[in-house]
This record gives sequence, structure tokens and C-alpha cells, in this order.
Amino acid sequence: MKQAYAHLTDPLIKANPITLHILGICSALAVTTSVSTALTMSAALTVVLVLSSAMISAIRHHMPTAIRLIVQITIIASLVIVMDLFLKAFAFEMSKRLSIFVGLIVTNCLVLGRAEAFARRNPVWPSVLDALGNGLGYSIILLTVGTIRELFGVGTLLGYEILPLVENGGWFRPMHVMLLAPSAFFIVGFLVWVIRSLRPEQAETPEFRILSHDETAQS
Amino acid sequence: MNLYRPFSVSSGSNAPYMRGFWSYERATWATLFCLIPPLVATLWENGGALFPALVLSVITVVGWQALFVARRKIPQRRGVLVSAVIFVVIAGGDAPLFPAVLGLSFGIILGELVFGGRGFSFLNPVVVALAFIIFAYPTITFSSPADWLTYASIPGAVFLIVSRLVSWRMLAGFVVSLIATSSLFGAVIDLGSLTQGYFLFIVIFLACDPATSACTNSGRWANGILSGFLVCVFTGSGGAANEVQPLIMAIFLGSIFAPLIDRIVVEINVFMRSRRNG
Repeated sequence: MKQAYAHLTDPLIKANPITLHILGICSALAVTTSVSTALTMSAALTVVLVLSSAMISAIRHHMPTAIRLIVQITIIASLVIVMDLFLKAFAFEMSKRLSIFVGLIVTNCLVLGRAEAFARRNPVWPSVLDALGNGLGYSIILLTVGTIRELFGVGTLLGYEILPLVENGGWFRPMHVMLLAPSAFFIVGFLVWVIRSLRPEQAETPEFRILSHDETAQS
Repeated sequence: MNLYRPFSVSSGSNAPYMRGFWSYERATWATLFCLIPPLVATLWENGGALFPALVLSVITVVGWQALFVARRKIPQRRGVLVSAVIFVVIAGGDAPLFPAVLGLSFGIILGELVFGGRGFSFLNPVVVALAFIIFAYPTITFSSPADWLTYASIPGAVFLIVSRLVSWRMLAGFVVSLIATSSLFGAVIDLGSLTQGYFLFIVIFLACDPATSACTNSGRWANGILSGFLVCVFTGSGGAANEVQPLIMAIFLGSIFAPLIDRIVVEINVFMRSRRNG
């Protein structure tokens, strides 16, 4: 039970798919200009991830190794198409704002990564927990980035004005850069920095270091 | 024998490595001294309005450095004051205080302190700060500077070049490339503007910054030529080469290419030497 619980909680921060594995960066940059798009995208990805992991895990003994990637992609793609159509049917405006990024969940390294690394060789229940944990870990980062970008980019959260803008008589001067993709890179980078400062075991060993004067003279 | 290793190494025990009379401290004091006339000219023009920006900028850079010294054990350096003064001369009068402090914090942290301080980074923190402000607040425009800024920069520029703290090759490459490219494109920029505005100040104190421009002699020519060419590209048709945006963007890209330029120069040098000496 404890181990099953770890499948769910580990990917939240300790083995977060975005900040530790650096997976799913593309959508983390593209859909986080506002909280609502980040929320929708997180939900869509989590649903796809959980369902695909469950299905792939269920048929894992019947899946020929040679064509497993094709089978996995087929399952994921089918789920993504269903999700895309669902959004178009019930949340058309949101679906237009997310444009191709829901469709691109197919190619999200996170979904195939969990299928390949976990669901393929584990029973259904742990796979579902693992998928849910990774989906939530992805959602945490997306929502954090989305909150920062919307708050400082346009001064609102979920469309409600939090910081009164200068042009509406307030004091806040919106930062245009928050609405551009580079800001998401910086925010994700800062998050990685914060997490790795708090959890030094995540930090990678440096590839090289700068020699001091004495060492340079000796060699 | 390792062909990549220099024949002699510098006297200091820590980066940035400097030779001969110049130590890091002396170079910093000299640069600060050279910055006094431009700073005074700018303060004179703006009256007392610039003092809050100056004080806040100094507090910002000193405070962030103190935090990094305490937490990450990087050396305590006065070079951050140089960054603060350059920043105030360029942006102090135009950027409101909050964007200015935010931009300068961004520049000093991500442009310098996270790498371990001056000499370890590859971009000048002021360039990073100004690029941040240009992108983050497109509504902020940089008005023309104090009338005397260019003349006030000349003594410092001459001193830095004569004392070889700043490479004349970088400056020459920059100006030659600017003139050549603009005449190639059919005079896209107004060359008369070079004697006014920010041109000399930014080129001397930011483009030719010895820590972030190329550090081989041929590399300096190449670096200057690249940056001058980029100014022409970013200025577009009919613009002046003394505006902040094109200059900063050109220097930003030029600095990013500086290590690559140096590497290519070193590789060519090693290749020639190994062919010559077997």
C-alpha cells in the first residue's frame, strides 16, 4: 500500500516530469499564458495519461515487443482525438485557444514516456496511480507557470482582475514579456532552481569545473 | 604538450584573469573613475530626478551580490557598482523605478551572479537588464541622453583604450563594420548620429567590455564586425545608430557569439601551429 502511494506522490515534486525529467516542455511553454488554458490542458493531459496507462497496462502481456510503440501511439492517439472532439463539443472557445496543443498530446514525451517506462511492465492499478501522479505533477507546474504568467502579464487570474492596471487607473504595469514563450523558459528554470536548492539530490554533477590558478600551473 | 594551454598564466588566483599592472580591483576603480564624467553629465541634465534611481540601483546590485556572497560563497566584488552606474546613465531617466529595479535585478542575477560573478559570465549584466526592459515593457522608450554624454565619455574612452583595458580592435571593428555595412546597404543609418546620443558610451562601456567580448585579437575584430553589422540590421532603414534598442540587441547577440569566435580563433591557431611545427 505504501509503495502504491509512492507511485502517486513521487511524481508531484520528487520525480516531477517537467522539472526533473524535463518532459512535456513544449506544451508547458505554449499553453501557460493564462490559468484557464493551463487548467484545461492539465486536465486533458491527465485524463489521456491515466486512460492510456490503464489500457496499455491491461494489454501488456498481449503486446508484441516489436510493435509496441505503434500500439501505444495508436491507443494514445485515439484517446487524444476523443479528448479533442470532447473539448470542441463542450468548450469550443477553450478548444480554439488551445489550438493544436491538445492534438499534440499525442507527441507529448510524458505520455509515451510513462507508457514505455512504467505501464508496459506493471499491473493496472499501480500504472493508473503512476499516471495520475505524473499528470498531477505536470499540472502543478503548468498551473504555477500559468498563474505567474497571467498575474504579471495581464494582472488577472482566471480573468478576474487582481493587480489593477495603470491604464485602468491602478498602479500595475503589465510585463509584456510574460506573454512571450521565453518567460516560460525562465519561470520553469527558476522552478527547477528552487526545487533543486531544496532537494540537492536532484542536482546533476557538473560536467566540468573551473581550475584555480595553482592547478593550472601544475598541469 | 597541450596546445590549448597558454604559455603563461595570470598573476591572480581567481577569474577574471588579468596580467601585469592591472588587477581586478584596479581595473574596477579605473572604470568607475572613467564613468564619473558621463554620470555627472547625466545627473546634471536630469537634475535631482535621477538620484532615487541611482541609489536604488546601487542598493539593488549590492544587495543581490551580498545574498550570493553569503549563500553561494562567490567573491565579493565592487564591479557590480560599475554595472549600476552604466545602467543608471542609460535607463535611469526613462524607466520607472519598479521596472528599473526588476530589470536590473534580472540582469545582475541571471547575467552575472548565478555564474559566479564577473569574469565567469558571458553577458554583461547591464545588457541583460536593458534587454529585459526592452522586451518586458515595450511601452518604455529611451529618450535621447544628456547633450554632453558623448563628450563626457571621451576621456574615459581614451583612458580605457590607452591603458588597454578596452581593446581598440573591438572598437575599430565595430565602427568599420557599421560604416561598411551601412554604405553597402545604401546608407541605412545616419552616420552623423555616431557623435551624438548613446553610441560612444554604449560601445565603450558595454560592447567593448573585456569580460564579455572576445579575448583573442583576431576574435576582437570579428566580434566588433559582427556587432556593428547587427546594429545596421536592427536599425533598419533611415534609423540612427545611437538608439538604445538596436545597440543593446546587437551587443547581446555579439556577446553570445564571442566565446564561439574565440574558440574558432584558437582552433585555427592550434591547427596552424601544429602544421608548422609538425
